[in-house]
Amino acid sequence: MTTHRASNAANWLREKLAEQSDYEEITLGASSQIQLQYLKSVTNSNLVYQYVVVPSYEMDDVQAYEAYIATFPGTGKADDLQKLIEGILEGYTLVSIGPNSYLLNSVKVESGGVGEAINEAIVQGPREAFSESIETNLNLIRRRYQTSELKVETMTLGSLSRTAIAIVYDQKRVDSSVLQQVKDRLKKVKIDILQSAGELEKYISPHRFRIFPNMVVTERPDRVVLNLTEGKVAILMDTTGFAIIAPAVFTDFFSAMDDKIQIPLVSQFLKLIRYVGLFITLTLPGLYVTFASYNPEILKSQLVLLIAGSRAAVPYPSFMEVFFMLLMMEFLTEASLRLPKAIGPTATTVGGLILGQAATQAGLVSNIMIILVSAVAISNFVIPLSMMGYTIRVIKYIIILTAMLFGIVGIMISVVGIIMYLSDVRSFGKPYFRLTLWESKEKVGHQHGKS
Amino acid sequence: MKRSLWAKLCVIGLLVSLLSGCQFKDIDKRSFVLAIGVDRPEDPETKHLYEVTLKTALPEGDPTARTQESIMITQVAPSIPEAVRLMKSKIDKELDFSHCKVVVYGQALAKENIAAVLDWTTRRRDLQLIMYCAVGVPNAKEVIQMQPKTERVPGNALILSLSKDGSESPFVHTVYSFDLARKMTEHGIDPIMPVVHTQDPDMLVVNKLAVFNKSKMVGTLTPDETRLFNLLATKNLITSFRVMAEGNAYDYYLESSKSEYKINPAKAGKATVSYKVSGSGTIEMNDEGIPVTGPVLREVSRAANEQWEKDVKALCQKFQGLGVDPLGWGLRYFSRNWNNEQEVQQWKELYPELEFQVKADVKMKYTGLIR
Repeated sequence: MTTHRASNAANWLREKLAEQSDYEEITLGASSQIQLQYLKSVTNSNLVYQYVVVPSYEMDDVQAYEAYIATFPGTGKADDLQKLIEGILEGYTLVSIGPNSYLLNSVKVESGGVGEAINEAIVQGPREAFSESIETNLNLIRRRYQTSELKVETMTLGSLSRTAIAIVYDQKRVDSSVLQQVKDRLKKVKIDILQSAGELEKYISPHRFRIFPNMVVTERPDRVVLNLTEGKVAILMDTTGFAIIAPAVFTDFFSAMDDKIQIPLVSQFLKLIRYVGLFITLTLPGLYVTFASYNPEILKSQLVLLIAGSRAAVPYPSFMEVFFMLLMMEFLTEASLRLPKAIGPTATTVGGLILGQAATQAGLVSNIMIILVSAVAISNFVIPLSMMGYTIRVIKYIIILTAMLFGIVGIMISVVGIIMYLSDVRSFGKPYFRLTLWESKEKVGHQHGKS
Repeated sequence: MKRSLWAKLCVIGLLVSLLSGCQFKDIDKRSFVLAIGVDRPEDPETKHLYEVTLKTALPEGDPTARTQESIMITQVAPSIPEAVRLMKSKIDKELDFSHCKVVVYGQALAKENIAAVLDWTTRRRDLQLIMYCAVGVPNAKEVIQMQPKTERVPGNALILSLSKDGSESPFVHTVYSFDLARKMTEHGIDPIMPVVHTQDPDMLVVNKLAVFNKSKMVGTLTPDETRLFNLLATKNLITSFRVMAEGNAYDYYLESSKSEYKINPAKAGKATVSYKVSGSGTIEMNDEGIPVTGPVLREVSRAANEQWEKDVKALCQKFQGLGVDPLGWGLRYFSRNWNNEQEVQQWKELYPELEFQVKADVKMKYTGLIR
């Protein structure tokens, strides 16, 4: 009877987890009476080896060994199947000795290699970021997503680098067509060396020419977990601290993890601010060209005279002025990115303050232009995910170009064009430019079991 | 294949870039006209020509400068477009009328005919229809030239006082260019325009209304009449009135006001315009320092009603005497007695015989705060 139950627990567990790539099963003892089952990614295998495997060979008597295991700190009998699976997912090891099975606390907590999120820093909430080891990263996800539905499939990419890749998804919630596409595309990748998540994103994107990022590249485990609950697929990679999430929606790039933490009023306000920032950083330089060269009648006369006055000494037409200042701004951003942290602030001070001040005094650019360039730069940084930030940085030049040629009509043409392009984009067969303001509510309801 | 596509795109791009033509003109190469003044020249030999004065801004880069300079350009020409073309050769930058907010008609021109000038201001594409219109006394040029000390942007003092964006004077009636053009052609309503006159050393006074019989100025309202006109024409006028009651003078501030009228249909060729003017007020000043009690308030209300009834009736009769209809009684009559052919003729016959009834109902509600 008991034999039946114990083997039952082991068999049941095997059935549940056999497909997980990090599931491991070890048989010990002379007569194969002892069986260990655990998930590699969350279990401290050192501990298992030292205190479970080694003693089994040192002790000849199975009963003595069982007594030893039973007294192990944090050990309980595995009676309840629910508790069993929960324990295993948390990092416990199931030790089956004959008819009896024990759950051993062997939880591995990765902390050494885990750093703080730098690129997606938030005010409150978890600070951990992915490390550069895939094992650690899987551990970070498992710790936040303890269900047997979470599936991990591994493969390697790159004929020389042999980089380990893990496809992570929630079996129940995932969209199977997306999953299939992700797998197919990963299989098709034929390269020598794979070193970063962004690179991989590029290889598995359908089109060569893209304007907007098709997948989210993030360094935050909590963002990955949140997206897993939404039925998306995450791709983890060894040797890089970033994960890829597919498919992506345009609005994903404008959500920060802060939004979940803040009260709804505040988070809606923050979202609004980001879209306003997007609009400003996109159109402001183009609008300046328009106002200064085509349609000054739109502004108040006071402002028009101010712009006209500050431009009086500027020798070049407005678009040259805009290009010149924006280029300086891009140089500044790039330079402060590459410079060592100790010199970074100096560069910004010298570039931003002194250059800006001197350029206006020398009459090379207008005062208004300096204000505008800084507004554009600041509002660009409001976008939480850097990939989208880079895209927006490039797109604004298209708008300047059309504004330069056709004034306000040009701005309209390019904005409408961008919206049309966005509506046409698909990310893994899913519409990219989709508004997800109301859909999230349904999901919350679903999670509370209201359906 | 790919290469030819790129080549095509390049060619299309280059051709498209030509589409905008010479629209591109930097803001510092434009000279912004902020106000236009049109006069008849004083010289008897050129009296039939137009004297156009433009006030253009001279932009200054330093926003901390107290005032900004402006440049006046004057040109005498047989027509206004001609004058503008001639003025273009007097200034190095392209004239830009898109920020022109005020057009001032000289008194002499207004007394003659404003139709041609108005036609130009409504027809030209870069002149906005929300320009403020005014009659300039002694002439448009001097009004335009005046630079009050409070003015920081050229022409702004004129714009602020005519628009009521700044000072909300009860003696100003804002008139837009589109409004003027409409009243010029519409049957049954006549144009009016505020009168701006200069006062030494550097003041612009707007407290009168010029009354037009279509394109010709036929009279001027006094400041008191102007205020009363505004009482009839606008709701909740912000003003105060002075009234004598029981040998004492009281000033009351109008908290709310409303006026409505009916034209009672004609019997035997006679029609009556009956006005009902109501409002509530607060005592603002009391000359003799008499304690203001309930009975006093009622007495002041009664006196104020009498005053209004008398004054409004006089104002209506003044319009009738001038043969003008700035309040649009005719339009009201047409709309209520519409029969496709005779209503205009009927009104023309009725108008000289119109009778006016005024019922005023102003209540003094508060004594004002006594501290």
